[in-house]
Amino acid sequence: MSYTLFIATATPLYSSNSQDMLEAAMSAANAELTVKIVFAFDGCWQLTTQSGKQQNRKDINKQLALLALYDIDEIFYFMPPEAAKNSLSAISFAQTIERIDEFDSLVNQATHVMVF
Amino acid sequence: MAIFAVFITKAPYESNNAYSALTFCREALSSGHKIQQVFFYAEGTQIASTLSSFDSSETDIKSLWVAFKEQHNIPLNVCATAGIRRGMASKEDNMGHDNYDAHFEPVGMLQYFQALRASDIISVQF
Repeated sequence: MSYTLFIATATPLYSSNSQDMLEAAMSAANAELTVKIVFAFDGCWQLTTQSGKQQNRKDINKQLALLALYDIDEIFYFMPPEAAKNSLSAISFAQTIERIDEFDSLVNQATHVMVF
Repeated sequence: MAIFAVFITKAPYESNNAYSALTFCREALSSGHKIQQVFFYAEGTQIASTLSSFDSSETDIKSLWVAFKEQHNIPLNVCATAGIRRGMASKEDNMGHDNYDAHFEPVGMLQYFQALRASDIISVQF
């Protein structure tokens, strides 16, 4: 099955990259593309932040909760920073990718890949 | 022959991506490929601003894109939502100013992803 893969690599406070990624992913889903999302490397911090409003940005946790409404239900995280691991283990909507070859496979099988 | 849709997310003042994308487009066309559209998103929307200017010692990348558009008539689409967040407004936005260069068109993001539904289009991101 073809899909478009969105990869979030930026930390939450550094830029609006992940916000831009989520909006693009939702738009792609609206265009009836099958969408998968990977929070990779420093992008994993997006899943742990609790302070979206305080950082003068949209609350990313609320947006993540909306993804199911767009039929985006394949969400992964890969290689979280050591300090984030405990927080991520409690996340139910995202699956962990344990090995680099799993990540490679997800990328190689995608029809399109967008990196933010 | 391949058909490309080109996606640019970096502002012209923060990276060389817009120039790299332009080089890619020129080479693709000269090699017999097609460019379906160029789409500017996130910080990349800044390239369409009439308010930006480049120092004489810098490459005026916007002018190069304008020349590319005039030569090849390939759509230079700009995400209207990402643009308005960054001070880019068109007449349709009713914000009292229009700072879109006429060679760039503010559109919805769907325009890019609907194009990707065609099985023969390859998305290239810069």
